[in-house]
Amino acid sequence: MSSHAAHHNWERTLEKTWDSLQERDGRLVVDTIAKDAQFFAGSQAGNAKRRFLLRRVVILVDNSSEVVEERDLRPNRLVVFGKHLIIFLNRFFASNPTSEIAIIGASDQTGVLISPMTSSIVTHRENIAAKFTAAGKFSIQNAVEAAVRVLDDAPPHSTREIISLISSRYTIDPDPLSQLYPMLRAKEIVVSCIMVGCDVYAFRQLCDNSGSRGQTKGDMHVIRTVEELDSVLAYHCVPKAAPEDQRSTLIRMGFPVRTVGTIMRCTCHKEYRQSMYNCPRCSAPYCDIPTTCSVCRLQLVSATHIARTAAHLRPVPEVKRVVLNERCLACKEKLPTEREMVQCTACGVALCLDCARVIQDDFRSCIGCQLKSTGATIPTVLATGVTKLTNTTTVATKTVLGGSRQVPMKRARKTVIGKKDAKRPSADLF
Amino acid sequence: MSAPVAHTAVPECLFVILDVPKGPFFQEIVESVLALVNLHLVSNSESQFAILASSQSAPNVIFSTFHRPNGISLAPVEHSASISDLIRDALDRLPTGRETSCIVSAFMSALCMANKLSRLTVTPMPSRFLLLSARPVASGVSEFVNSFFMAQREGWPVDCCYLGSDSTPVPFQQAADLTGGHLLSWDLLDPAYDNAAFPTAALVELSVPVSVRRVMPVVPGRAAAGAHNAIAVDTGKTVAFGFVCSACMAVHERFVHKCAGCGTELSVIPRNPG
Repeated sequence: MSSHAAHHNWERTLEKTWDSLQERDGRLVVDTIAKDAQFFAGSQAGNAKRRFLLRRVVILVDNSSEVVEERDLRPNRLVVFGKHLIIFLNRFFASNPTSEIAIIGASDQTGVLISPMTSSIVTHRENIAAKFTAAGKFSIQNAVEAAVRVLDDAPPHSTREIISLISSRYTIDPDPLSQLYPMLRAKEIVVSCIMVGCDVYAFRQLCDNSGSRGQTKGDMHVIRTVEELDSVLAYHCVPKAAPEDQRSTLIRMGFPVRTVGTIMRCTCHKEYRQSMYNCPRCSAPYCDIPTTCSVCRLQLVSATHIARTAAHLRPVPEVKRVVLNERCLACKEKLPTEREMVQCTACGVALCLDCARVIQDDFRSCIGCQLKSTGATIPTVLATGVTKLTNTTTVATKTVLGGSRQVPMKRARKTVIGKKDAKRPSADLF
Repeated sequence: MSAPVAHTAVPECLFVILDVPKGPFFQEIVESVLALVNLHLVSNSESQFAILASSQSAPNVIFSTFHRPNGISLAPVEHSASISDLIRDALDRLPTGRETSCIVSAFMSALCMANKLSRLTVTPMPSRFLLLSARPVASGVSEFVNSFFMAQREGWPVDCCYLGSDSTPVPFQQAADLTGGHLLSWDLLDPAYDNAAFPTAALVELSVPVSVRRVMPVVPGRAAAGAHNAIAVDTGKTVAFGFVCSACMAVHERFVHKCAGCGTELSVIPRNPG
């Protein structure tokens, strides 16, 4: 993929910042309705007791040269797809470390494997940089069949998903698309589509007629801007909710030991490194996890990867939108005017929209609730906008702020190194 | 004669999270942190930093260059003395006594600040974190894991310096491993170490910008060999390999017909690989 820098103003995305201003009660307020779609996209899946946590996903990208050169997404669709694909991969593997992704490019009326099924972001980045090119026309049947061949090797306990990023308005196929439906149902493959610009009935039918026992059909989204593309890709990072009676199984996994200091040759890249993860069964060295041992086929993960995957089962903190002029508890930012903020319904702390998104999508736990669980003092916001502390303990630290409050500076303290009393450390040091 | 100032290509933002209660070594640790921060600013004059304290009284931001006090510019060499005094004063006012560790919430707050900074600056400034703790992570281990996965996704390394001796620093080890940071484990009570010399040299090593950092620190950390093992829910033992429930991700040492984590009936016998 060739790099394309925006040299001219007309190549950059036009930002109409004045569109987001609305008048409320005689004041201009930033309207966040458009931002809410982005804010809640990552948590649209809501709370579910069971989810499809182990996923095998094929990203099918429309690389037909007729449509990817269009400039409605600046600088062109091909560059935007490549850039946001990498952002999506980072986000996906951060929230689903035990899942794997393959990337197929639909070009020249066929499906070309750009990157094989793996959980290594580095491998995907290198392959996208080398093989992400546009050519020929689009054929969804051939591309889906190529994706199905990749998914045939997926283990039975994992989901099989195809997420298609399509720009074309037509497809050139050797057979009617309806011939794909029985195969997709039999193999329990779920096809979701992200259409750029318009909805195509044939592709929507493909999504509706695919599905597994737990997920009856795929999702169809139509995007027009880069922000909407980001929002939809963030939605696909969250594992889908599973029914209560979904069958489950035990999967054999290994938790390798990391050794540092001895130079070894890794099994995956055949390169010499100083830090390795050794398979607990066959002791084969690997430079990074999670991965599947190529010697004994044992899936190698860390306990933290398991914990991160299981975090999707925790309920997302409930929040409500309020208009306040309070300091955000997370980033400590305070604006001079009132703005739309978010308040946690459990502990009552006020958060700005950016921090609320991070808390909902990444931490899945409110900072105020976490502080409260340790018995700490947190400022809660009452309905009238007045801030009070949750108990009578005064705040011991003084934070020097810029602009709003002057704190008198005390005389400089001199610390003479070396003349302190050399106390013997006791058992109860802290 | 002014000291020569080295400039790196990219300014960085350093977040230092302190979880060290007041004690005999507190001042020494503070001075080491100040030395680290000064070196960080010397490496690039446009670099930023913030110091947060894990305290049970919020707010816990001791000092940050994002909220600059009036009259203090960011020229690091000339005005570092006044910034250091402000930080010493603020840390001096921290409550004494034994407290529960709040390092998880302080780390979450630092990540939110870094996220906000990356959105507000025209040129995104890479961030890096230093967790300096003398207490194990008591509560919020799940939130801690989620936090350093966010750091890993953003490419922000998390360096950890653990000063306790009561348990192996497993969460800090995992945070450093997964984000590409370093773990320094320094037992202040261990007679094998020189108690009068806090590892300032090792801490200063961490001030080297991430882009030019050496592979191994000067003082190698006490790496916990079993840091990536899991605890089985059925036996309570640490296991190197076991069975994971696909519904709740609970780890079992032996094959069972009913998951000990979620109670699901397991109807499929796992294939014997190989």
